Amino acid sequence: MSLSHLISEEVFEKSPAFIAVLLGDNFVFNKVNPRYLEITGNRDIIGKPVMEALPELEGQGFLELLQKVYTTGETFEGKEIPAQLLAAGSTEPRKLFLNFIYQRLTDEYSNPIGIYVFGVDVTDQVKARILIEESENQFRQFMDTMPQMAFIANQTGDITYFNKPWYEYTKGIEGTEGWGWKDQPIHHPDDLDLAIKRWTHSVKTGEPYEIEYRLRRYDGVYRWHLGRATAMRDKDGHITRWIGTNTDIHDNKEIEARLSESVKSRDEFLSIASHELKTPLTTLRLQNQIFKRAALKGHTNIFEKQNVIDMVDQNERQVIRLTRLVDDMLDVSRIRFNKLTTKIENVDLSALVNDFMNRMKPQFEQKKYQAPILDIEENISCSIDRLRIEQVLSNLVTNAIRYGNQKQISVSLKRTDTEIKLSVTDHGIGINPENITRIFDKFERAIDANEVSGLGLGLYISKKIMEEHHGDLTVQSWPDEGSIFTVHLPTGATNA
Amino acid sequence: MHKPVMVVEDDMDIRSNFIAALKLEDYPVYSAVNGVEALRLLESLETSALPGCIIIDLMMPEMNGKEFIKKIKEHVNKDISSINLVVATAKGNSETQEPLPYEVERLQKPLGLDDLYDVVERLNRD
Repeated sequence: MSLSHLISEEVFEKSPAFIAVLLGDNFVFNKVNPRYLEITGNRDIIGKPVMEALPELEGQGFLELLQKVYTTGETFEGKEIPAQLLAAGSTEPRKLFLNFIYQRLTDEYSNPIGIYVFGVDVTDQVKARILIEESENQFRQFMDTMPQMAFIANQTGDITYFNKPWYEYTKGIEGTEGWGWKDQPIHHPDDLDLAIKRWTHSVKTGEPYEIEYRLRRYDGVYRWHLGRATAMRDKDGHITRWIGTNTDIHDNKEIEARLSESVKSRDEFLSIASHELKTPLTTLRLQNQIFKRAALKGHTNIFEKQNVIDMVDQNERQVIRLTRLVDDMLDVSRIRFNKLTTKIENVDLSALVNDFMNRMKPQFEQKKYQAPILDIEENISCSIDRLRIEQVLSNLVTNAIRYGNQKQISVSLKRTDTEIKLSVTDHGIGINPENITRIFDKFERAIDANEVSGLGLGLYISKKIMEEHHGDLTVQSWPDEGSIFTVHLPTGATNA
Repeated sequence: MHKPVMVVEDDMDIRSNFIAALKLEDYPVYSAVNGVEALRLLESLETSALPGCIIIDLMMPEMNGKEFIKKIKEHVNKDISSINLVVATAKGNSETQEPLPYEVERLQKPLGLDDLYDVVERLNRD
């Protein structure tokens, strides 16, 4: 079989492909085209066996390949096969990448006579690709070292790569097959629609993608992330792919929320506090000016003994009120810095309660209440801070009067094997179940601030005081039926 | 003879001071501890005995000041709905006043006697 069966003379001479005919089982170069000579370094190879002509091929596997094709008759097709070949005038082989075929040549009786070699040098393409692959690898390594989750998507928006932090976050879904943008999203169900909408929009328009959403961590916890992606474009401006990141902003988000919550509650507190402070000040100011005006106008009846006593009492009440407001504010600040101190001493609690309730009598009368029912077990002594416990009792009784709807209020003090219980019961407006947990919070009251005055700190402070005593303050309540607030003191703290 | 002034204020001490201050200038005074009581009192009065103005505390139980203002301004009896209203509030300051359902005169607590007399003199007319 002659070469002209395979290829015309002109193509042979001018082909950008390298072509050679090797004859015999030692593969003697019989015919080569100029391109073949060029890549083998323009050596004098015609008439020489391949290993003699191109000795540097030794150990590169080509001889074995030729022998195999020669023996079996199976055409070999190789793609991007590396070959070390000497260039013209050089002693150092250079690395080429070749696409080529080895095809057996036979005589008319199908006996093997040689090998036909046809191939192209693809070194430049391969090197260019390797360069891209290397830079791609470096890029992915870089992505893996980022603290953020990052991804690459193709121009149609399908994710083709997730970085390491992504797998650390999601776990158990190694490999891209586990996470489809569309089929197995890790987005919070409430955020998914918006995420798909934004992403689809960006992929369609090429506009940058930016979104805040919650992504599910491997343990099922959703954390807030800032998602961003930018389109990478080729020199013609066509989008080649998208590179995106998801940055965990959960803690910031929470701090932000807590901050705005605390700013809000501080503002509310300031507004309530200033209202509460101005109310007694109003009385004091009016009182003062009335005295002066009455004196100027000669209204001496205002200075009659009983009138003066009433007015001074009234002023005293305002001063007590102001003092109490300031004390409450100071207590809150102490609680905040864990500096609510207690002065523990042995106290006859029964006497304390009886005495306090006795002093409260005028308040009950003034607010049109019947005398409270007292059920006080005698001789209960315990180690407490007298003033603080009285403060708690005062808060509870004041609240009962405030919210008690002028219905019977009762106070009981009982001792069981495990604890001492001091309860204040009213039959007033009660507390809605949805409000019951927050009444012990700072600045909270269960009803509208427009309706009842007060700082809303009493129960909060009381609860903290009871915690300082290793006790507790609990509530049971039924709307429109009333509430029972109970102070619990451990008997362990007693010295009876 | 002045027309009477009505004071609606739940704080006992402020209420008694308003009353004392107004009596010092010879104003007859009606008082109520909340909007419900005040409304009941107004509706029981002869037209000739109605107050010329009402001083209202905003923060009150039962019916707060805002609700009370609405009730008065939208009252079917024109003699009642036309009574001048003054709000006395300790909330905020002149810059942070909360909106009211109707535009009414305001007194900022802690107020002085002059503020009180000034407003009453202007509004408590026939």
